[in-house]
Amino acid sequence: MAIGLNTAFNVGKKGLRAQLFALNVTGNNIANVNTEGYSRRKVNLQTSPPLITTEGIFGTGVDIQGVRRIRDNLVDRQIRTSLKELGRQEIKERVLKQIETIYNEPAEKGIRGLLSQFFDNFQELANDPENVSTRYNVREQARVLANAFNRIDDQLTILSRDIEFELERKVADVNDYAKRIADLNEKILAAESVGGSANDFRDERDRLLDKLAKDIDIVFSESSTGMVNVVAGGRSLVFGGDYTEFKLMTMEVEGELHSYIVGANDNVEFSISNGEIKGLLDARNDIIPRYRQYIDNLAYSLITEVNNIHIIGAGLKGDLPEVPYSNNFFKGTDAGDIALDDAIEENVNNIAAAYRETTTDEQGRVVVTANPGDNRIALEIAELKRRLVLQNGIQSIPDYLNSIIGNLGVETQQAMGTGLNQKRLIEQFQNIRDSTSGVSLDEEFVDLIRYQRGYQASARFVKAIDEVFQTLVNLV
Amino acid sequence: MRVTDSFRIRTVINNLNSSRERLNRIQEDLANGKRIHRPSDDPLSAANSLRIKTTLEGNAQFEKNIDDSIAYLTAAEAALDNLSEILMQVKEIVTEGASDSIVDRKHLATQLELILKNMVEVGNAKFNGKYIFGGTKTITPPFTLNENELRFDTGEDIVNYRGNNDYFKRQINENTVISLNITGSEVFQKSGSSGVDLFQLLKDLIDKFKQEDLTGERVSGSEISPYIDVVNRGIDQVLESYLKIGTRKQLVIFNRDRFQTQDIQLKANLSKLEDTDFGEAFVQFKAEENALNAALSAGARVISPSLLDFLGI
Repeated sequence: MAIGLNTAFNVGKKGLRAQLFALNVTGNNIANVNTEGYSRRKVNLQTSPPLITTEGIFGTGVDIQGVRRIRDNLVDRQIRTSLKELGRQEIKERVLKQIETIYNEPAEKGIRGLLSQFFDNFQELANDPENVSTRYNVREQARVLANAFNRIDDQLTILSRDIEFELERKVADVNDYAKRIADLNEKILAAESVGGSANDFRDERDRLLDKLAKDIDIVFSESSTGMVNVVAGGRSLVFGGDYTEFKLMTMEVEGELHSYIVGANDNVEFSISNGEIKGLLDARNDIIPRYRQYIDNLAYSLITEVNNIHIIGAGLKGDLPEVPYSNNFFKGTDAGDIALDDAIEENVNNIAAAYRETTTDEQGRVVVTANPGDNRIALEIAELKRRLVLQNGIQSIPDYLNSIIGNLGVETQQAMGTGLNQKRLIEQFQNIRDSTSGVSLDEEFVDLIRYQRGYQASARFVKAIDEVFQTLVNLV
Repeated sequence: MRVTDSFRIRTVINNLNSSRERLNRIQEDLANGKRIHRPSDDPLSAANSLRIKTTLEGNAQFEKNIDDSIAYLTAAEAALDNLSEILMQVKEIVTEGASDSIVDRKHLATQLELILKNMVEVGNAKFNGKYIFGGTKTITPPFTLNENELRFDTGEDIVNYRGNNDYFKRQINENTVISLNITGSEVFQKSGSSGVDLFQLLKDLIDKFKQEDLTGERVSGSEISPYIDVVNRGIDQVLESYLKIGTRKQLVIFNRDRFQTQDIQLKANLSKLEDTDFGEAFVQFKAEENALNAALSAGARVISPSLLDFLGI
């Protein structure tokens, strides 16, 4: 009988302990309802192994088997696959939008308008080539145009530099994540190998893996020992408790600064293929150089075509500017250095509207003249607006600019569309993850009541057994 | 499916964000009056609108060129008109001088000398500070009267032409460049068998009218009458130039009218591409605003209640 009582007390004790434990777990869930990346816990209660006696089979109460972490690994994987694509598209969209701002179209004072006005001003000059004030207009407008080109080039350089800074930061972030994941791997192994639970560590590791997945293209898997190994860019990033650090390397390629990710210790490249870092690398190595190339092509074409016409012309008094000037209108070779020729800057009369003619004067010397009413050079330069000088004779200079802008719009739109799709996809997966692992306060409140009642019931049982014991003791 | 707290909140927030984003877009269109704020809003329309703007600006410039041309051509017409009148005067004088009953032709010579100087002035007519009849040598007077020759008859040219025979051009549309001017030689000193050198003609007439006085011999009317024909040819020559100018003027006016029609169409196209349709935008705005309010209200109701409110704890 004493055995029965003892067993009963034990049962009661175990019941109290189990319900209290479950209450604690519930409380923990409630406390963490807003914690990011928290997976809800569930208590595993199991019936204790029964006592088999001659009088029958006695139940011995409830055991706490452990605390389960409710997590859907498949959905985690799906989210991380989508995250890297999203990361890349978001960066791409952001960079392209910034380039849209740099090109500044459609706008009043955008480069399209300035270019159009530049050519039209030469028509004005052709209407009145004897007049010096039309030349002032031409020069002023040309200055503004050249500055606009310079500005675009500058802004692209600044953007590229900003991206480099961001890459440095991201590389530092990733190195940090990798280190912490490796660290957590060891902690989880240590905790679980002695039969404990590492739920919090696992949650933390999953949070880090999510962050990592947006930054680079990770491939991860959990080993049988509970450690997660991560591979990124074709090389091992985290292996058990070890991790590889990487760093950013910059090299000049064709006048443009390019960036690469290499291992910090061995300088061997990581070929990152997705994620925000890939987006940033693409921006630096492909997108910005391309849009700089386009504007450089435009500037180069403008400079050479105008100069080719201008060089056979002569200025207002028929004089050629003195050596060492070259009778060019522009100097420079691309958007970064396009400017007006020194002769034009110095004297506005050096702007040529007429053809250069040579005659011999009374003393038989060769003299360069130009007829004041001759406006053929001015007309030719003005007509450059419509001449098909680019892309093997299918585009005029304004056409080429329009196609750059159109291209930019399409590329940006595509990045926006793809990014939006990824976002929607991830939202779906996140909903599934929330559904599985999220804390539902309704549920927890019900559990609160349930376990509280259970505790009260067990307590009542203990009281009952106690009364029985009292009765027994008083009997004797 | 378990609908957890984070699920509900995320859904509400995402929906609100989408709604606000749409509202923002429409608000941008309304505030700006334009529906394309950056190329990515509508790349095709953006590229097209840029092209149209460049064309419109080019057309405006052509119209300026045309206005400038019309002013020039009008001035040229006026000068040629003047010249015609002068030649009519000459004709009268020559007709008078061709009659045998005239006593003294010397006063006719004096008249013609004045007319000659007048004609040189017409030849040096200006427009906007530039000489009309000098070809592309527009800042030096094209005709100079050789005073010596007039007085002393040394055999040189009576009038020297210092202009040239080049034309200055105007572009009046994408494909057409016209020569604007008529050169002095064409009007006053046309070469060829049918061409008349007006100045030389006058000089010859002056000499002829003075001849009687100088030599003392009577000059008969029949020596003068052939000149009437030459004067007629001269009048025709001027008329030819006048008609040329007139035709040119018509051509440029026609082009200007064409541009004005074309511009109306282009501007309409441009507006369709880039302007906000305010009516439509307002309606959309209202609709989105309502949707946002509904989403806010619904969201509030979805987030708040939980079992806690009802358990009485």
